[in-house]
Order: sequence, then C-alpha cells, then structure tokens
Amino acid sequence: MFETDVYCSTSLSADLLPGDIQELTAREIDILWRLFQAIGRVWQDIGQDSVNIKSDWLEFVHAKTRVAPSYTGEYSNAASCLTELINKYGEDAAYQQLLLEHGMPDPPPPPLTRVAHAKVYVINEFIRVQVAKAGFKSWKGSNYKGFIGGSRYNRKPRARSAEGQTA
Amino acid sequence: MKIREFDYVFVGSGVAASTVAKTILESNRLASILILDAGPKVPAQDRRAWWDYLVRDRRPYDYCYDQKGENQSVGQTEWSFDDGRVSMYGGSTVHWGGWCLRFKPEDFEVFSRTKEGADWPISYNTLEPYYGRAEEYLSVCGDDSEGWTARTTPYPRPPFPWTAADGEMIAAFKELGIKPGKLPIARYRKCMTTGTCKYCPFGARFSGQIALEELLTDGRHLNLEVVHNAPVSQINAESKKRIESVEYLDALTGERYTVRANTIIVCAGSYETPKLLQTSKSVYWENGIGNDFDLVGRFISSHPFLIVRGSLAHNTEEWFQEYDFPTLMSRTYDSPELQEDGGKIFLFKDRTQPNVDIASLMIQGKTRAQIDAIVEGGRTQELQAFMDDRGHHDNRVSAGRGLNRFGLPQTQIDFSRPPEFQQVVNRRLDLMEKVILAMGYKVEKKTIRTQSGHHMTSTCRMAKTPDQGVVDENLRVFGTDNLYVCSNAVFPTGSAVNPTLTLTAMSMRLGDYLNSGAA
Repeated sequence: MFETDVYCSTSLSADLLPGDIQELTAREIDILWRLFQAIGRVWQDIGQDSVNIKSDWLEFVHAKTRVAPSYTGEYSNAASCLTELINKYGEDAAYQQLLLEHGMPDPPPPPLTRVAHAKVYVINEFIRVQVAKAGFKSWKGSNYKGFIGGSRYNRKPRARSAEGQTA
Repeated sequence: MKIREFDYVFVGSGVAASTVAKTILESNRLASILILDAGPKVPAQDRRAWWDYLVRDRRPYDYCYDQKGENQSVGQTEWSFDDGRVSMYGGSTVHWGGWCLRFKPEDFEVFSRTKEGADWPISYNTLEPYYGRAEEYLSVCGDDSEGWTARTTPYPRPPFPWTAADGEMIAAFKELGIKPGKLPIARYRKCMTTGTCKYCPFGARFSGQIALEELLTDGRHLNLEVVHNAPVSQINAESKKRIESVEYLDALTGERYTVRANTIIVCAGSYETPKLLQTSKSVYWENGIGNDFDLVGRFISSHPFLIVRGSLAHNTEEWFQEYDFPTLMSRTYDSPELQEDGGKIFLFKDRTQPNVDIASLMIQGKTRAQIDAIVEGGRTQELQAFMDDRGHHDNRVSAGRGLNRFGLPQTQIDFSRPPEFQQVVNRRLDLMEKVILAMGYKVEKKTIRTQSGHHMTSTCRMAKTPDQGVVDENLRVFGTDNLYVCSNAVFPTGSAVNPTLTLTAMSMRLGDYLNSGAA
C-alpha cells in the first residue's frame, strides 16, 4: 500500500509510536476529523453530517491522547500520512485507497510502515467509533455495541422488539 | 510480622464479602471490618479503558484471568480454566453478566429426588424472603408474571423486552410447548444498554468493587478497610474451636501481617476457599480446617454447557442481537421430571447471535454493497443451555504446583464425568435441536462445550452433619465457633441456573445471622 509515497512507506517497528510528551496541533486534529467524516461518506452510513457525533469523537481522541499509553504519536503520524496522500492524489482518491483499497485483513498483521500504523492504530479504531456512535443505524439497528441511548427505564424498547411478531 | 485486630475479616471481595459486610454495617456502622483480596485493583468506569474495550476488544482486567500453565487439570474430563474467573478486587462480579434467576424448590432436594448429590439443609421457603431482598439490592429487571417459582415480592424493575431477533425462537418454543420467558437481569445502576457489559462505563452492572467503594466513600463506615494485592496464606487456630487469625502478604510493600478477628469469613470462591482450608493445618486440624472427614474440595459441580446452532440462508430483516445479554429464555425443561431423568436444563438464546460485525467488514475494506449483501445473506441463531450437576465424591479441587502471579497456590482440578453422562447430554441436545428445526433453520452445530468452572459450586458444601459437609446451615465451619464460608462453594448442589442471585441471598442471610448475636 502506497509503496511509492516516501513518508507513508517509511519502515517502522510495529510498536505504538512514542507520544507521551507530545500534543496534537489544531491542524492535526482538523485533518483527523476530516478523515472521520470521510468514513461516513465512503460507506454512506450516516444520515446527517458527522458533526452530530463530533463530541463523541473528540472525547475519544482526548481519552486516547491524554491517558497513557498516549496515541499522540500515532495520530500525528496519521495526519502526516494523510497530508502526503491528499497532496499527491487528492482527497477522494486518498480516502478511497486508505479505506477501501488497502488489502489489509482484520485482524491486521503487525504494521511495519507509517501508513500501516495509520491504518491499524487510527483508521480502524475510528471506524469502530463511527459505527458504534451512529453508522450502525443505516443497517436498521436501534442499538449496537458502544451505542449509548435511551434511559434506565424500560418503557420503550431500546432495540428492535419482538412484541407484535409473537402474539 | 505485623499484627492487626478487627471484629471481622473477610477473605475475598466479591458479591459474598461485599454483601455480608454491607449487611453488618447497616446494623452497626462502626463495625471494624477488614476485607482482603489477593488480586489487584483495576479502575472501574475508566473512560480510556472503556474506549479501548470498544475499539480493541481488550478488557482492562484481562491479565487477571487464569493463564495457561498456572493450573492443572488431571481428571478424565478436560477442565478449562479460560475466562472462568477474575482474580481482582471485586472478584468475578467484575465480569459477570448479571443473570439473576432463583433456584427452584426441587434444587434444594436433589438427593431425595434423584439419590444423587445432596439435599440442602435449608429449603426454598427459607431462602425466599432473601431472594426478594437480593433482587431489590441488585435491581433485577424481571417479569412478575413469569411463574417459574413462587414469589412474595415483585421484581424491582420491569424486564428487558424480547428483541426482534428472538421472535422466531419464541414461535418455535410455543409450537413445541416450551414456555418463553424474559431473562431476569441485574442492572444495579443506570443501564444505557451499551452492549459493553463486561466493562460497563456507568457501573450499571453490580460488582463487588463498586459496592465496596461506595461503602468506603460513604463517610459513616469509619472502621471499614479493603486491602487488595493481599493473598491470604493461612488461617490460624488457637484451639480446635477457636479460630484466631489469618496471615496475609501485602504484595505491594512486601510486608506480612497477622490479622486477629472475632469472626473470620472466607468468601474466596469455589477454587480458593477449599484450598485455603486444606492448607491451614495445625495440631488442632491436622488435615486442614474443617477437613476431618476429608470432604473439603470434593464434590465439584459446574454447569455442562450445551449448544445447538442453526443457520438460515437469508437475513432480509437485517437482524442482529442488539444487546450484550440474552433476552429470551425458558425454564420449561428446568423441571423436576427432567431432574429425575438425569439432568434438567435452563434454555436461553445466545447473547451474540445473530450478528454481523459491520465495523470489521469496513475495516477489511468491503464496500457498502458488499456489506449489505453479507448482512442480508444469512444469519445464525444458537440455543444454549446449562444443565444441573450433582457432584461426585472423587471430583476434587486442591492446591497445585507452586504459587500463581497473585501469591495464591496454583489449582489442581481432578474431574471426571460418569459414563452415562453423555447419554443424558444427548437427550437434552435432541430437545434443543427440535427448536432449531422448528425455526426452519439448518442445524450447524450440536455439542457440549469443554467443561469449565464459570459456575463452579459445592467444594465446601453445606450439610446437617460434619460427615456430610464442611459447613452447617448457618455457613459456620463444622467444629469451629467463629469461622464461616460464604461462597458458591457451600451450595450442596448446583442447579441449572446461574448461582449469583442465590449467593447474594445467602450472604444477606448470613449477615442477618451475624447481626442477630446468635453466632
């Protein structure tokens, strides 16, 4: 994947990139947010703009970068990879390759390049957050692992109910 | 060796210890209580840990499960230690599902009815008021009209409704004369149905850790203390009847302590409790405390876990099980008739099927159209069951080779099923298969899982006389004045359902007994 892209194809250890004493810049957060939005566009699984779940995403990024082991190094690396790919291929083509045409299985092999780190440590986790927080609904579900909805009182079913089917 | 003194010392910090301690403190808020747990403290309700569980499927307490090579299975029947229990502050309540079913009256009369296992020295009616209290405490969401057992109090919360994916199995149940029911499930605090029950971000599922932390921060309980990373190695007797103290290591400081207490309560589960009694030898108890009749650790009982899986070639409704717990169950075959026929079963629909991991397909790079085709292209459903177990004298837990990571003796399980066991299992699997076939599904799998100790009981069983068991009906170790066991270990036999509600009820009953002064 992206063998000809100098930054992206740089070899690395599979270990989490160090980041405990770094902070993300506003620009890096913006690049990552655009990646998160692209997930909804590519899979057409979000009814409204992803901005409705931006607070969930920001809380996730905060938890992953402010608590050890920090993912700040991974997020910074992913932002740099995205910058290189978008500059070279354009935004749509870059996301198309990163999200659909990477050829990487799940679970993935150990990531040994910068772009593989971005895929394994950032993109894959963003996808899980995006599906849990909203994307699953486009597959007719009312509830999904990680979705927080409803109240503690069970007056209204929080999942699709069998009532009516079984009378 | 440093010496400390308390009114009560508990070994273990799960549902039993936390419930007995709470019951004592409600009667005497200044009671001095020390609770010791060999395992570490893993933070509860930690947001980062929860996110990591969601996106990496990694629970923060995974390292507290038994690991390969730490224990030994030496019987004829393979025994799995995988994911069976959690050694940490809060015990296995940290990973339990919250399923809260009462035992049925016949579960207390197993020997009388089957000439196997043992009768309980108490009856369902003795425990019934405590079941109601336990349901209130754990905030069980259940169906008052279920009618499986006689009850004098309603459930404190309404049940979770059946999911759409339950519908086909409900119809099959009805066709076969099986009464469908809603699973009674404990939701201690605000449940937001996140589906991440194994590490709830809100503490909605009861855990001993959360219960004890609330008691500790309450401000009224000035003499309550919990020490984690504190394996107990020995219980000391000062005479045959009088138990003087326990010895523990504070693994974080390396210091050893002797704790003297008026009352000592071992709540360390069905593995550790018998091992601690066996290894606590003295001139008064040459074979270990409570072990004069060589019964400590014997009669291991644990649910056989039966499954029948079926598949359907389409899923146009795009169903998946939307909770992380089952909503459909039945106790029709949890009956005296099947008990007398070799084993009764508690039926429930698998909590994870039907399911498609949509996020994983996206991670693999599948397009929207490809994912739609997979989601609609078929589904599986699985009917599962626990079967009751009676316990056999030769099946035993004892200390294995050396110590584990937490400073406790490794575990050796000597467990064998009798030859006729498989015939009973096959008959029960046939009953379950009929359900899958009635749903119009193709049977894909029909089997019993490797035996494990998720719901292990009976290793220090309760009895009327010391030649039949280890503790009396008040959970006091026979022959002692002040040593108690409160654990699934005291159940004379298991039943077909999960044990935790019954243990909670037993813990409240023990708390009342200690508060009454009769001890």
